[in-house]
Amino acid sequence: MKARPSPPTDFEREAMAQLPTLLAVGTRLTRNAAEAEDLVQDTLLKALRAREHFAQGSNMRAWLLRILTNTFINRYRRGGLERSVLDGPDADPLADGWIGASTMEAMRDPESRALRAVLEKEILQALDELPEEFRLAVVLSDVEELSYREIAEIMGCPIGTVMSRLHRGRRLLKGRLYQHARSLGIVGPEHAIGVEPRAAAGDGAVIPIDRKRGRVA
Amino acid sequence: MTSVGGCRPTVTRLDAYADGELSPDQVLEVEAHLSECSSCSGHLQLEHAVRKSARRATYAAAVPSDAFRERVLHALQAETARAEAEAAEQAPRASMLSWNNITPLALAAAVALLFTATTNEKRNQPATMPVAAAAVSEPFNVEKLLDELVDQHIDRSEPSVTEASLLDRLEPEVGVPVHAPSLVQYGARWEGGRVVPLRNERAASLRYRVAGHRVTLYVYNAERLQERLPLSNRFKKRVVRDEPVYVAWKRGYSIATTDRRGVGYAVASDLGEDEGAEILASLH
Repeated sequence: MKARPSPPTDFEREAMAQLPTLLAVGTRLTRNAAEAEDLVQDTLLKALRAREHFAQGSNMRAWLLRILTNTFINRYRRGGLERSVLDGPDADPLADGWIGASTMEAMRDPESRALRAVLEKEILQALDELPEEFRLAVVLSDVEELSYREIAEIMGCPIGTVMSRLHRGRRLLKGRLYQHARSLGIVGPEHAIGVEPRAAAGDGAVIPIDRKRGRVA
Repeated sequence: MTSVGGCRPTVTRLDAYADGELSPDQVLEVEAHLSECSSCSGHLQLEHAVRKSARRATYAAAVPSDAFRERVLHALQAETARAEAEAAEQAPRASMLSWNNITPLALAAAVALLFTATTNEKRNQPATMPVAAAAVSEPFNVEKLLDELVDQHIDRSEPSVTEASLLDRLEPEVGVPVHAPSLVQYGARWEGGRVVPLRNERAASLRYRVAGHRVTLYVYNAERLQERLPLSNRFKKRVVRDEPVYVAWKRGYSIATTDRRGVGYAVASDLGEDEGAEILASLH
């Protein structure tokens, strides 16, 4: 007489559906596959115990990511995320001058195979080198596409802080990627924004604006 | 056409635009500029490209294995079964101990032993502690207990629980609520907890680090532990913030102890007896 496994509960189904998301974010947070698995399991066990606190109809993924973040902070970072000396008043966005037209030409097309390979390999490394607060903000926004408000709730900080961390994190990220693209000869020396663009000046084509951020398949 | 002045309002909003965080009016303004500025629309394309790559790479790098899926599912099922069993088992016990009136939060506060007015006189008279008195059936050996408190304190075994919220797993073995007070006011960092034998009973041993010193907070069933520490004249009574705490030295370690509502607490450390007593008295 073998006990037959009982059918999965609603919670178990939902939890397993969110497993890829939790593991993806958890892996970027811990930067360690084994720790990420432990973190995700703890997260789901906590969520199971606290599931009556989850407001039906609200964003289950955001709720789980919040528990994941809190669990990470409590377990690995008692007292909060690693702080960065870079966290502070925001810089002038125009200071992102390293990106010029030629870089964009080369970097913005994700279907450019050479670059895509570089981007995807390097982007993880570049993400992992970000200070934790920036990394978490960038992952929650760029990868998970959560709203600033949701990210602020997860990170326990004001929305303005989220925006500042995102801005700085993305700038560091792109700077890293640009350096790699350059070291591989994919892009040439840089011209700052505002300086007469080289490559784009000639083609004059209006690039279609992708208003909706597509989900990764 | 593409001047810095013309691009500036868009550049500053490009992130928020890509994040879908602009108001409808702002979206119109940004899009009007993007439609005539290839530099800014190029930047937007780059934003999208980087994000798309970040998404793809982040997910591709952490695909849950079948083994992991199985492990998680199993853990969830075990937890559900445990919670059901506990609910069934605790119903009668809870009412017996009147704990069903106490919310988990209040229990956490009750780790918080010394906040009610237990008079010192009462503490000094064993006769007022019938439960304890009845329980003492073996020769009272406080030295052995002190030895064990010290031995367990200096033992370097890994904690079985390092997640404060999972400490309640120790509860069935210890028989009393187990919570880890943060002790942040002392700059303490909680390192983990495990169950340790204490004479013929089991106690939760919660390990902290305070300014480089190891500190162990024991939580145990004071009514079942036969030697009730405060009863022995081996201890000196101190009053910290109007609360009685009992302190003793053993092999260079200070032991502070008290109990509250049937839950015993002891702090072992190489700090002074003042610090140990202070930590105990702070648990509110």
